[in-house]
Amino acid sequence: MIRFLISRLVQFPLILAAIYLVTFFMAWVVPGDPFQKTDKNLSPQALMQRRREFHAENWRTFLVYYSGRVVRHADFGQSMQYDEWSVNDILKSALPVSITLGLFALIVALLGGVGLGTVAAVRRDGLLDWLSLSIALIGVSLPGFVAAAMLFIFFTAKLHWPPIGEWGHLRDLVLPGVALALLPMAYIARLTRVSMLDILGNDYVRTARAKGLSRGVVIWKHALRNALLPVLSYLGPAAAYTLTGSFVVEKVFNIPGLGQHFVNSILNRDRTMILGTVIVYSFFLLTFNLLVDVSYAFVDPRIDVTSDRGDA
Amino acid sequence: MSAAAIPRLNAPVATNLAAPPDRLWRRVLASRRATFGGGGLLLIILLCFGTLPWTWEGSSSAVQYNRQHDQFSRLPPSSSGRPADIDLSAWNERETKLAGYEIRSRLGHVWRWLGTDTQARSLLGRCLFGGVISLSIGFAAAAISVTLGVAVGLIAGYRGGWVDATLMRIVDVLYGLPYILLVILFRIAFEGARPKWMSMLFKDSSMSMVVLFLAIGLVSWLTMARVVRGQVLSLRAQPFIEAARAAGIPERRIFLHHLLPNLVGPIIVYASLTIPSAILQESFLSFLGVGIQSPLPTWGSLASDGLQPALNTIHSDWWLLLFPCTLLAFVLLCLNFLGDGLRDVFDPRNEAAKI
Repeated sequence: MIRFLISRLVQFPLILAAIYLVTFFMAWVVPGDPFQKTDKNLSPQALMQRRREFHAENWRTFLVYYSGRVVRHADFGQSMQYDEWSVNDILKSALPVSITLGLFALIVALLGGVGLGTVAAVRRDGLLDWLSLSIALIGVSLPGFVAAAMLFIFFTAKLHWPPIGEWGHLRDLVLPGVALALLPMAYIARLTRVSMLDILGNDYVRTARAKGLSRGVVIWKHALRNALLPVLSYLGPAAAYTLTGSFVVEKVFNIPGLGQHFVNSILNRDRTMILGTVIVYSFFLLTFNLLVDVSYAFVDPRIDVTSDRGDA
Repeated sequence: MSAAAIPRLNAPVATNLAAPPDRLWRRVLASRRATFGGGGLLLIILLCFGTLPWTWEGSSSAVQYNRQHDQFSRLPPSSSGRPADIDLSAWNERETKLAGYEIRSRLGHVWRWLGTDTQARSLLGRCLFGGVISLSIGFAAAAISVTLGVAVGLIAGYRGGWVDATLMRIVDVLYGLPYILLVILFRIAFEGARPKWMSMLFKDSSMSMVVLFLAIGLVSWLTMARVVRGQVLSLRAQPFIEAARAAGIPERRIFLHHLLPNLVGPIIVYASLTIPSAILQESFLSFLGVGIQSPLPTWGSLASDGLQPALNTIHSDWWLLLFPCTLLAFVLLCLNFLGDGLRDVFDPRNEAAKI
């Protein structure tokens, strides 16, 4: 276990560095110049001056200067698009919003998904199976922007709840949280259903029933605990996805989160911002995947985390 | 000893696929989920591709996807009645014009069954043609993800050792990059530096389509690679592969005749789940404005174009959002049902006990 942890912790910065490098070169090869996209129409000299400020005369100087800065001070530098903002400032103001919303969405997705999936498995091929799966599937069958816009129209515009105003109330979390939760919820429901079907066929489930335990106890206590393993492995990517914000949800509900910076930075070729957001996202993803792998050992002691699981 | 003399060693293991094909078919048909999904999908495919002669670019029909029926913009679906807020004299004039127009048009009023969009194009035609492109994007992504993902997964799982480690770390790194960044960057990069042979083969408008195919396909093979590798790892430990190797069967034969047949199940399932996610990715790209180029429709771009006019509370053009979304949701529902149903069929332990 200790050896496994150490090797994973050593790999962590290496993979992060690889992601950094790949992103760096991708952001650099993309045609389009972040400095020429402004409407200021800079003269060649001023353009050169701007480039020199960023040490971005060519990719080598920028790579050396910028990487050193990121590694030494965890400072992603000035945004190339918004002159008065540094990437760290933007991250600092946007990330807490996204994390709050994401946590709420994650809880909704987990509770809803596991509930729907279990019900579907227990009533296999019954009406409830179809119904709960259809509910879950609507989450993946509509484009995110349509689902979010529908929620917005029905609740905020028609029912005037929650009232439109400054972002900051707890009730403002509900609608965007649900919109954000739809996709992971659908996925979790399906994972739960499949693995629950598997578990319910096991001998120990029959034994538990035979010795007189009630259906509810067997399903929700004995079977569910084991059926949650595949869900656990999906929670890593799901957490990274929800906690770092979604462009669509933020745009529809007008939330100052990280998701919009993520997409806008790419569209604007804002190279420093691209690197900042991608590294934050990857950091979340890697951390949660590591946490999930470690937690396997606690959830199911039989699993040998040190062996290569070939995660399917 | 020749290979032919060896008793058949590829015994059924991980999947039911080794069952005779006709029995497998019967099981697929017996699964209500799979038949509903497959049937619905087939219906839509036939509908979209079958009407191509009328909707494609060179057609002179009224439902051609880019034909503008001047003055008849934003017509509600069919002859469903006039909107209350149009004053009667103007409406009658418009109706008379429409009647004259329809007599001249060979398709009668079919072209306005689903209404027209803000640029007076038949929504029916655009939905049908958009379906062709959306479905093609899905199938292209699935094809790329099957070829690339299966190849990488097979090699990594079967070779093991440093080959496996290297390939899987590459997959890890690509996995860590958010896919949307990859898609957008691929797209922009391809647009900027398009190879000469490509612009010779395709026209400018269809270029954007090909680029979209490639970009979405190239980011969707990662899951497939992981799944196949995991499956190969567990298969490789089975006695029948070891026996085959011990019997001196050439590696290529083990690959093709012993490993691959046992992988078909998971591959089909994941391919059928790649299609809906590719179609959704395209709709997201359309929402961002980096999707397909403008006169060409996809269900995703139709929905995102229809969002504003449909959500207009004063005068809602609801049909512009409803019809593309219904089609999109129906097809995705079918594909997901098909994938789930197939997974049930291919899963050997699918006889779950009722408790």
